[in-house]
Amino acid sequence: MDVKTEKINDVALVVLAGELNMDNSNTLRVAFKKILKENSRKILVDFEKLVFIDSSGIATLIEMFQNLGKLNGRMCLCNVNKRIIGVFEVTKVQKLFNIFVTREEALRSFCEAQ
Amino acid sequence: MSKTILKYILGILFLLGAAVVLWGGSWFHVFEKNELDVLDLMFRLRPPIAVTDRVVIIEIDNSTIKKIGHFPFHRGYHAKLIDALVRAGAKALVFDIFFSEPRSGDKDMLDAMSAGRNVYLPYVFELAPQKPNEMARAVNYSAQNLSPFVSVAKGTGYINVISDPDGKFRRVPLFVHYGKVKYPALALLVGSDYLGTSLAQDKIPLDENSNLIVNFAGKWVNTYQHYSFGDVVESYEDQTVGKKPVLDLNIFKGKICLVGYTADGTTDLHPSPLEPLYPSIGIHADIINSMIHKKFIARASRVMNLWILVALGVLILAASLRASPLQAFGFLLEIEAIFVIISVMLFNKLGLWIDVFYPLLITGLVYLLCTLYKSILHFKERIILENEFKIAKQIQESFVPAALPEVDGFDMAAVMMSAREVGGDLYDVIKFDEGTLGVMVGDVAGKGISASLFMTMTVSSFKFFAKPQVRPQETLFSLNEKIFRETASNRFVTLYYSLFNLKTRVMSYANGGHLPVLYLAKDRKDAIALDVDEGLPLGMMNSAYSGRQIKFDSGDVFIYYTDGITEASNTQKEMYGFERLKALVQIKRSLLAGQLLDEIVKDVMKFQGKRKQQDDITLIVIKVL
Repeated sequence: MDVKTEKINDVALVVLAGELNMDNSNTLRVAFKKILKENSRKILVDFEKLVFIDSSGIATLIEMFQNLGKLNGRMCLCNVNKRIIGVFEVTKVQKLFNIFVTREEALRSFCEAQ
Repeated sequence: MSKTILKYILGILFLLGAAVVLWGGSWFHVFEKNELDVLDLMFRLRPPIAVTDRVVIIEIDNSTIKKIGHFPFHRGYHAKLIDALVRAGAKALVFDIFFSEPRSGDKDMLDAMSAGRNVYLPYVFELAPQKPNEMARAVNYSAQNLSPFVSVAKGTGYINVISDPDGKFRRVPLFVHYGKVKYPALALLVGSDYLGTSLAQDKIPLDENSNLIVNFAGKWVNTYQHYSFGDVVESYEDQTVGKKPVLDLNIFKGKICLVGYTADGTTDLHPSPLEPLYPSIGIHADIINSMIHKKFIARASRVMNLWILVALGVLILAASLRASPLQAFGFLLEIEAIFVIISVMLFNKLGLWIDVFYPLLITGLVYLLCTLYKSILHFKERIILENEFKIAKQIQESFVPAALPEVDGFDMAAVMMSAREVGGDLYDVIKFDEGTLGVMVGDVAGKGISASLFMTMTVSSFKFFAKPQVRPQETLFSLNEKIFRETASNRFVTLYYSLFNLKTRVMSYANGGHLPVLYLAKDRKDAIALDVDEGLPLGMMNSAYSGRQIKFDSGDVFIYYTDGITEASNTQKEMYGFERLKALVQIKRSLLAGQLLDEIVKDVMKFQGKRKQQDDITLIVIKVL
């Protein structure tokens, strides 16, 4: 899996590619921690190039979601493919995340929330 | 004696042994030949050193022999040379030639020598084998000049050189004891006379045997001014008859003229650091050059070499034990490079020669041994850890049913296959009483020891909360609350729990984020997923859990599974999926539970092909009879 982070205004964009699983979910955890350290409180995770997610991956996302919640931050997902939506549905976590179809839509939602 | 004490003693003995070997290797110059090779390399690589123009070399070379026409030649030629140089005002005339038997022209030569009184003659001692830390000692003369020559010479000195273990000549004894008298080397005598200093040269650094290490100034042809004996004599003859000489003899004014053989077949050649054949006359020139410029080669003492070795060894030892092998290797290379640079600088600037080869060898060895030692330790630790894993696996296995309970009217089979030593899947089948059966399957997020510990905690808590009279959604609610409250880590577990009431033939179920049970009713063609509306995985956050019920009947099939089945992937990264499972169960619906379970596992394995099992697989098949 590949994790790339960039900053769009005050939103930290995390672009994931490949498979997010047990073996590499820590890479994402480290990236998240770094973002929090840099005082970003708005995180957008782009799933466009992510093909697979397992329970560890979900755990990492939930962990981030909870940590951000404690800091009054906000996390959104975008470009989530059908298969991963299916996984979210099975685990019933789709209700926890703010999931947007496109990146632009998600970014707009951050602005509106302000 | 206990094993630990024995180990300590062995360790200390090993360290002592290593220290003795290290010390011995340095102290006794075990790698002397290699150190000498390094010294030669330093001689070859160093920038040119200052060479005096006050030393000139007069060679009896091939052209001289051609000019004179025969060899050995009439001593009158030597007389002419002496005359020529004396008249030109040469400061000293040093022969590296023996006049040990009478020959025609001796009288002319004696006259010339007496007139000039600045001729030095050589002799050779027969040296006793040199003992360590002892000055060279002679037992006899092995070559001498005729006494009339000696009596009119300004001085005489021996020209012995000492051969090193590799056969090269790098040292000259500064003095030799013969009888009770100390005799000086020819070059020392000439140099001291020239400089007007005393023979007692306490500023010249010597090796342990009072030998001087020759500071080779360069290659023979490139160093010092060279003149042909024949040319000098011819110029002198021309000058006396009023002809224009080939050489202006005034160039020899104030010079130290070294006369020796270099013609083919006559030369006195020795292998030196700079070239395999170096005329011994060059060695005299090098010694005089050193005396004039006060630039000598000094070898570091054994104690100093030992300290350097200890310092480097400790540095590398500490780095090798602390850093990773790769980091330590980088450090080793850096330290060795710095050490070599310092050694070269010391040699070039101060003429100090320290051992280089042995410290490099030892630091490399220290690094290798440390790395080996560390890898052996790691290997042992790994074995211990692997054993721990095996024990953990056994403990974990005790948390899933060893055998399924016998329940009238139910045909059941279950399997759990961990992808690693310890897994994160869990299941339980509990026969509460004759009328109720509880079936649970779950999956802890993450793998390994921590997941397996979480799994055992979940199973224990589940057993505590699961009761026949409590609805599954209530059990999950209590379980979630406990896990969420009590576990600090961000772990969670997906869990599906169902209760079969055998009397009413109703199955009630709740689901905490797990894969829904696949249900195939006897009278239906298609299997369906039994899922609920609400219920997050357990341990994530507070959540509501909803439940549902269905009526079951004879011939119905329930399949409980984990994502190890549906997410099993092949080399093309396709997943097995719910649909494949569903289709298989529909086709094989008539099989017994055990057979159906085998068919599913076989199909999943076949689908995976050569790809390794990625996740734990848990599968429970229940058929209502």
